[in-house]
Amino acid sequence: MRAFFAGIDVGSLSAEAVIVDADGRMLGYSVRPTGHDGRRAGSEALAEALERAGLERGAVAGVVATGYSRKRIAEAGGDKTEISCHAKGIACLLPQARTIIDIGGQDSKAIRIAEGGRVLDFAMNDKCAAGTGRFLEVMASALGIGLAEFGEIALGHRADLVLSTTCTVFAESEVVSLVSQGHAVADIAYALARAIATRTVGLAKRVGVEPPVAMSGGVAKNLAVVQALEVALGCKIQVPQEPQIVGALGAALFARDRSRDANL
Amino acid sequence: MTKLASTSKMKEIMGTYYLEAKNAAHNGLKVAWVTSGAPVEYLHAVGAIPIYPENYAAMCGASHATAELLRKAESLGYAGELCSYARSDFGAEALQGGPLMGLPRPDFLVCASNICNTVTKWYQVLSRHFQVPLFLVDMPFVHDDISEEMVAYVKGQFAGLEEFLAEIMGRPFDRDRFSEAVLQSARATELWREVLEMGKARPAPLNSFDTFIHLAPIVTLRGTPRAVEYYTALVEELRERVSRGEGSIPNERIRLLWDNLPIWYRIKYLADFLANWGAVPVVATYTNSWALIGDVQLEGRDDLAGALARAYLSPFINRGVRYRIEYLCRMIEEFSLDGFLMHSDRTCKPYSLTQLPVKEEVQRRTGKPGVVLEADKVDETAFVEAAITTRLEAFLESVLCRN
Amino acid sequence: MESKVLDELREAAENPRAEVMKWLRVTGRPVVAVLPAYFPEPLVHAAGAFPVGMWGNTLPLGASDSYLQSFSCSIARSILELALKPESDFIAGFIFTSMCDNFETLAEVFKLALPRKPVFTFVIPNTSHLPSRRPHLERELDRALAFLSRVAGKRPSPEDYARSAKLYGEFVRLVREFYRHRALFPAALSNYDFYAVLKASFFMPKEEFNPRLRSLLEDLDRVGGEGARVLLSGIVPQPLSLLKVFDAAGTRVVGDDFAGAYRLFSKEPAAALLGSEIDKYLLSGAPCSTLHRDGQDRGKYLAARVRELGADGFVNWHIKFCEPEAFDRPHLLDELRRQGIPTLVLEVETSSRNFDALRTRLEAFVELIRQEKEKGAVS
Repeated sequence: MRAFFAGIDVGSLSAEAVIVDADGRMLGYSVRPTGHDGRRAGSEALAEALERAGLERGAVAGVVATGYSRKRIAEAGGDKTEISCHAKGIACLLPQARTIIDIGGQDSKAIRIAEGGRVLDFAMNDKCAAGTGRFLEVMASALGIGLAEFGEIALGHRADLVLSTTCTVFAESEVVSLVSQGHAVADIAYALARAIATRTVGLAKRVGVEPPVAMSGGVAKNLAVVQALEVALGCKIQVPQEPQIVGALGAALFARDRSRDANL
Repeated sequence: MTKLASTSKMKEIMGTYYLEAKNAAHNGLKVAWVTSGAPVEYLHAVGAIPIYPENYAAMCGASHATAELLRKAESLGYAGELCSYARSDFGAEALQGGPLMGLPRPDFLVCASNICNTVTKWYQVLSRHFQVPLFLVDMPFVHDDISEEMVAYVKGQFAGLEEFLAEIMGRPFDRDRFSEAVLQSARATELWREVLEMGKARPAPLNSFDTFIHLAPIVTLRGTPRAVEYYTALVEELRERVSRGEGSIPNERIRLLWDNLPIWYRIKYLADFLANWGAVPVVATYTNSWALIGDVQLEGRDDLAGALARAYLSPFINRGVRYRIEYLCRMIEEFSLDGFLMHSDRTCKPYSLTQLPVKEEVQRRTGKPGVVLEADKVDETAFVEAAITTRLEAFLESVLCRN
Repeated sequence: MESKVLDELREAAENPRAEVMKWLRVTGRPVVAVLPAYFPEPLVHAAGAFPVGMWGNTLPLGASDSYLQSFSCSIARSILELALKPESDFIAGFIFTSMCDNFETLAEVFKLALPRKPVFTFVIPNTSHLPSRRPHLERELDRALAFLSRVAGKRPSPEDYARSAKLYGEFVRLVREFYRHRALFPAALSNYDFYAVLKASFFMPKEEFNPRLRSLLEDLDRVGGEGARVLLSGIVPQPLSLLKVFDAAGTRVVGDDFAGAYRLFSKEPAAALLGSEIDKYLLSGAPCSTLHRDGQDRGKYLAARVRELGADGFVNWHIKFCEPEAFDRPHLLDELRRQGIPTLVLEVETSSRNFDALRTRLEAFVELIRQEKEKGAVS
């Protein structure tokens, strides 16, 4: 009988699930907003991913959870931190990558990895939300634009604006006053992207940036942030097709390894 | 936490100490508030009772009594960015609150800057508040090596301290009692070092969380026979544990170092969390500092003040990055460690602000991973449990992956 | 007021890098950065170097984030940010003092972040035992001279030093004259321009700055003007642009108590290359949150200065995470309030640029002062 494995990643803004087979091939995935109930979001993501993979719940031989709600996922037989899971996931998608930048909902991290996704060092932002997905969300709403269109709008910037702060509270009022001073939304949006990039590079340098650099997490879909990061780092950044599901993929691969080790 | 018979003995002698201090005025004794790195041997020489506001703030933290004190300090205008020990004590003084309903009022203050410049500001506030004299012993930060000139500078001030004490106590400084106190300090320090070095055993008979607790007598009773008595018994108990092969946790797999002050209100939580992974800190830069400051070379007894000055300049927090890096690398080697934990204490700048580049360099030299935990020694609002556990778990996963 | 000299000084304050590069080219003297606070600067000059005051800047923080946690003050963070830039490589060395934990540790971080840059920390004695100070300062002077001869290539002779001390003596005399004029005729210059001129002195050789300030002083109008007269206090008036908010709100800054302004300029330069003279220099002038003196009461001192300057109010300009200042603050404010002096606290970081919230608070403070004045006039 073929065995399948699932990874569930429940973060503060979104929940993801990924299904893999025994060879680590991805068969289906799902991305959903976390909402108020992380447990439920995790269950729903798993159900949806299974449906897309055309599988029944019973076909899954092992589940590993990750993300902030990793201890609360009823379906999971074990859990791993996001750091290990992102490392594992990236090693599968972009095996050459040696540094990972992950900007998630409420934290950003930099991870330096060896071959196979072994974590050599990592750093995470301190507890303020500066430079995270949450920061972008607040700023997008202050600008009156959607999060999905943020990157594209920002890439249309013309003038060079520099924000004086990345503190979410202060930046929000700065954005509001920039808008009222008549600055173009695109210029402000790019300034925000650059502010995130500056903060993130500071974080990444704590672990030492070794190329190739890969990026995971929802913010990797924001092309303006990626571009600003590339400028700040002075190197290209590889982004997997679905950067949001890297953590869940890593978790699924850990579930598979776990069962393989158990069968040895 | 490791179950040690000595723990109840310690609680007893600490209780007696605070009781005596509370009754000092009643018994005609003078009380001095002093910093944890003050040359307390001088106070024992004149029979003054030293009180340690830092130790008290830590006690408040460990018994979860801090939040109210910090709120009070804030209402007095002390910003949240200031040392949370100082704020706790300001709050406790204003409320006469905390575990002992506040500390006994000081007759005078002795502050030594070998642990930070913060204490200088803190004791200025105390001096204004209580309207009592303050003697400030300036012990400069040691950027490179402890030089003879630096020792001479501190020694000169010790001479000034003698005069200050003679005047306050209204009698000449007693040199014999001073020699006796230095001797007692040196003995207790030697025993404390023995306690800490037990961590080298595999499995370690006690861990850093235990040493945080058993530190109290070396801080507060250093210079008295009580500290010597206490640590003699503790060493004995630990030797037996080592000979029985008894570890501080059931299944010791990962041996770590703890850098910076404890997170007092989460000691048990962190101990249990790590123990679940078979991980245990067996050495700490913080507790080791009291194996340095009383470390008077007794062969230099003709110049006790000089030996004392040198010892008091030496704690880890008073040293530059080159020393810190070498020290951490040496501990990793000597205690056979798998990695190190760095508590980044947001209101302790001198301990914390070098940690990021030091971590990098120690990792590079030893190949052992470290992790930075953002929190605060006693301010519980700085501890975000989900963030701490994620960092710790990721760190432990990577340590296991290497082993 | 408009004048060519003022434009030039304002330009220097707003573009420090260009200014310093200009004088580096003109004088050929190696640039030595003098960080906060109270290093005896004439020593640097006497050694043939060009001392540049570095008190923080408005750079957004990035690279420095890998070395310093966010609870470091922004003065320290922004200085490191600047020093890490390849464009700062022309700086020959950095001089720190033991003024606070943040800067003591910053000197150590420099050793790892910029391993090739010479770094020196001057240990200011903070002790209750005065006789210990002098021998200690003899040694510190010796160490400082050894450092300077390494980065500037010359160990100054007593004669070299005497010449520099004279130049710096002239400098502080002119600056104090500038302050006196300010207290009498605060409408002669905007608040912003006054501090821009002082800031410019960090980035120019004093040989160049002194004649410019002298000429500016000659041209200054003698006009008092309306407005709420305030005394500012804090570690350093950064960001400079916040002073424009003070201008717009209708305040007249009639004096200050900044470590990076009045406290610094109130000190008498050491007369000779002697520890005892350095000691006199350190003990002279205004009290400071970073310098311990037994029994000192900055609350009473500041209340007296408010009266002496005829100020209507007191503004504490706080740079977040500045510990020495934050420790003194409750006492200062209590004492000033006890004496009936209106007080206001403004919190900023050196890179702050959005002052909307501060503007509102400052305007409300000015309204309060006016109301007090009117009440006083009626009664």
